[in-house]
Amino acid sequence: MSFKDSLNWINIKGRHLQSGIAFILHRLTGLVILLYLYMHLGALSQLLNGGIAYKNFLSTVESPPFVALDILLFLVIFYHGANGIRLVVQEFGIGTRRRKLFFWIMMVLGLIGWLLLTYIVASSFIGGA
Amino acid sequence: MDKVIFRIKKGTPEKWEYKEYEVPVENGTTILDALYYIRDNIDRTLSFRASCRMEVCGSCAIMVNNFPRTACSTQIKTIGKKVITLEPLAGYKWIRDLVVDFDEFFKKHESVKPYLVRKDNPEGQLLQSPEQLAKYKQFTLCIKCGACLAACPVAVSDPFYLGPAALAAAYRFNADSRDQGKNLRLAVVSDAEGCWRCHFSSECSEACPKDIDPAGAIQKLKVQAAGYELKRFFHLGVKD
Repeated sequence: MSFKDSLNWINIKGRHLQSGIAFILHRLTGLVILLYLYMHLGALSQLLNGGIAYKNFLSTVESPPFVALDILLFLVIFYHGANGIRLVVQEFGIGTRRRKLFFWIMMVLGLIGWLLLTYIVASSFIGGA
Repeated sequence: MDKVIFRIKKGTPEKWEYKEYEVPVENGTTILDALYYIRDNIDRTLSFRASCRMEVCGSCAIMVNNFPRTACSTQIKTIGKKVITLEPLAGYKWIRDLVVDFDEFFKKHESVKPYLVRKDNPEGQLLQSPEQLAKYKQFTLCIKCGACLAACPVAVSDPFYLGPAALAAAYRFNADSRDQGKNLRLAVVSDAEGCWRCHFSSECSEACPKDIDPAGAIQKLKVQAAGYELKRFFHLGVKD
């Protein structure tokens, strides 16, 4: 099997939203979260340069473009979390015939959570600005 | 009578191309009817597998517009396209045109011991209640068409994964009250390339032409396999 074949999982042709596409998105969002974890550790390591350097760094990442990226990151995390809870439940063999229903219930809950958090972050950001 | 263009992946892995064929279609015409029409009237070299023509033998599964289907039970008008692309099943060794090699598929199937295992040699019938039968009945309908494996994003990127058909067969016999070989099968399927490789993308259940739920069977097999591994870990006497 070639390297190209090993990437066949990412092919969206012929896939269903609640099945194959949800699976692809789950993997990709997992990779984004993993990348973010390393970026977060890198950001924390700025403390090694002293308190002033860290505060300067924080003032950069609290600027509007970074907050917008944070809100996008919340979307990634909420998708991964909501779909992950669905997978944990269904991998016990519960409601496997009701994949579509389970998927959409969790997507709606995830979306509500994301909108709430976005509102909280945006209001504190606007209020604090 | 309407006409539909079929784009068929034709050739061998070394040299291939998409060839187009125009086929007359009426209500009820199936993809398999179209393949026979092409072979009988346009291109006698077209290779495809088929036998029963009634979704029993499982021979004619192919990719139809990137989705695995049995050609005999897919009516062309239900697809609603004027151009339909036909390709060999994904995830299998391609031989030529629409024919793939099923050797690996059947080897995997055989590896899970898809038959009743008995420690004794019972005389007479092994009786079963309707409730006991209901636990596995849907999985007896599997026709081994291989569409589930072609639909699975894991199976098409990992040739060693046992795949939905074999794992669903393992569950079918493990759930059978007459069987006594549960641990023999769990020893095979509780493996990195067995049920734990399944990530519940559930495309297998979407693809199954018999409306079986192999994805559900694999999840139930995971629960059995987890119990089996825990007993092994704590030395609680797992007997084969």
